[in-house]
Amino acid sequence: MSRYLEASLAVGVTLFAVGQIESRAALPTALLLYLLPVVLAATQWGRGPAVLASVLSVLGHDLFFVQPVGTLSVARADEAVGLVLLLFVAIVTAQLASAARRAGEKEQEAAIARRSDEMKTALLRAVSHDLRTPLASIKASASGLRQPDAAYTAEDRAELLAAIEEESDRLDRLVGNLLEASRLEAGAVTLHKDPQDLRELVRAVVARLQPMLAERSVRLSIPDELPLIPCNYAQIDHVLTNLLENAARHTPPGTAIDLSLELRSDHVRVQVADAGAGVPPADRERIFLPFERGSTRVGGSGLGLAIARGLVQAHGGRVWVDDTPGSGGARFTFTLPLDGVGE
Amino acid sequence: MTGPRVLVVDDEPQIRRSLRVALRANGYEVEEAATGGAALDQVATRPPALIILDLSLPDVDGVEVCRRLREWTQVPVIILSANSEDEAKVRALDEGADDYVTKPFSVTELLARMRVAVRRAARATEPAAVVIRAAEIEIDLSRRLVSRGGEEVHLTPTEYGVLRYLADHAGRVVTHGQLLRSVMGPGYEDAVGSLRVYVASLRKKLEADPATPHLITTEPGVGYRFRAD
Repeated sequence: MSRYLEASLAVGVTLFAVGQIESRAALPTALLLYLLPVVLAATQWGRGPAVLASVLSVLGHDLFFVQPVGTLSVARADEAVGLVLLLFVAIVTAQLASAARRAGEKEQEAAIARRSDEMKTALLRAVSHDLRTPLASIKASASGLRQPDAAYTAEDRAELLAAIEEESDRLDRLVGNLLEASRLEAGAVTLHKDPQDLRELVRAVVARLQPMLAERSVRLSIPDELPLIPCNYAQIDHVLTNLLENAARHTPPGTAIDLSLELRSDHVRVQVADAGAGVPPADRERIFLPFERGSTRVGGSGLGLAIARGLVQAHGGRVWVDDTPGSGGARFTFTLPLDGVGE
Repeated sequence: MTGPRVLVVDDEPQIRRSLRVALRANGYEVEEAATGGAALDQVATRPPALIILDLSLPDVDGVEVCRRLREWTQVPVIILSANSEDEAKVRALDEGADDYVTKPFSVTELLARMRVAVRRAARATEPAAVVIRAAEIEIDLSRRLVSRGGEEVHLTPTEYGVLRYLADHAGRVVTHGQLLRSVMGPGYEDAVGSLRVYVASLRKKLEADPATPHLITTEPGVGYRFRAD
């Protein structure tokens, strides 16, 4: 409704302006002025308000400026023709301008729909590739083990079985990431914080991920004493898991990953530093967006870091990446506030 | 006993591990490469008997690896691809890859394809046969005669061209594009519809049951494969 009010107001302003023009005899100039509120209404508020503006302009001009003033009757024939012309031109202008506006809106909607389609396709591609890769190892190993005539040693069998187990864990992590991503997307992350010993959490995560880290050694730097930190254990486990998985993905086997815990004035700081190629400054924000993988062509769903950021932010902390001093690898840091310790 | 040497090219260490164990237990000698660049180097220094090539590699993509290999070697290449790389799969076959296996795959299936590829490569060095036989079909290349169970089958020149190209590449996946280019000439690569008509008519004339073909099988979305005896 306010769109109609605004259109009426615009006509009012124009009427006032026309009233200020000394020589009202210059009728064509005055009439052209009324096209301003009409075009304004058509492009800003749509067709209805524009038509209203057209009609109000004609009525208003007739009422205030056409002899006899104060009535809707018109004494002079040329003024009558002028008013009819004004009404016609104003309504045609209203139609054209609002049609242009609608076309613009449709174009915008189509562009948004296209982008969202592209996102969905990219998502499905990434997810199906990521699901198929561990599935491929599992199926290859299982079908190998079932071969009746192949010469598998006990060691071979153990290796194939280990591959099946590790790749199942990887699938599980991926499914966990997908679920967490959809919860974050829906804003449905519930935060149930309990005081936790982060030192234990860090050690447990590193121990669990040992098979995935392969020959990469994790050098832990953990203070002897650390207050309990209020956080959700499973979610911070998830953050750390994603950061370590990311480090393993972007570094060659045999390199070290430095994991440190440090108490600062009002927060605790966790850092995962690797000796890989690092993240160029231009990519340092982008890699935290869902389905972005930076400029590398290494696999991965592009979900892990986005989830890490979502969960850390839900805890009131921050997460960012810079260079590992010395090696130039990537150093991911996240913070958790100490608020409410001992609650 | 060491069998044929296979180069496994995949950036996923887990896939390489499963393949290494399974292929070794089946008598192959296995070498590995994690990137396209490393693969090209390894083939140049110690040419393997067969290459198993993943398409999504971190440096040079698999299609490009295939193209560069084909500039100087005819070593058999089997593509190992996830389904989402369908177009890349066709491009790799067009660049000269011999076959493809879709991830996830069973080792038994992969081994069967590997045997065919290695055998085909060995045959390629022998003098070309004048008569190609498959099931009850005989194709006499010198006289351009095709017979089924001893009886002559009449084929149009285009049908003969399609059959000949498929038989020349027996056991291998031939893409629609390759077939159309060779039989109808460049510029007809999109005429997949007419190709279907020729293949259907060939099947009617050559297959025991044209509805469930055994001689010329369809590789959905990719092309055809002629049965290798």
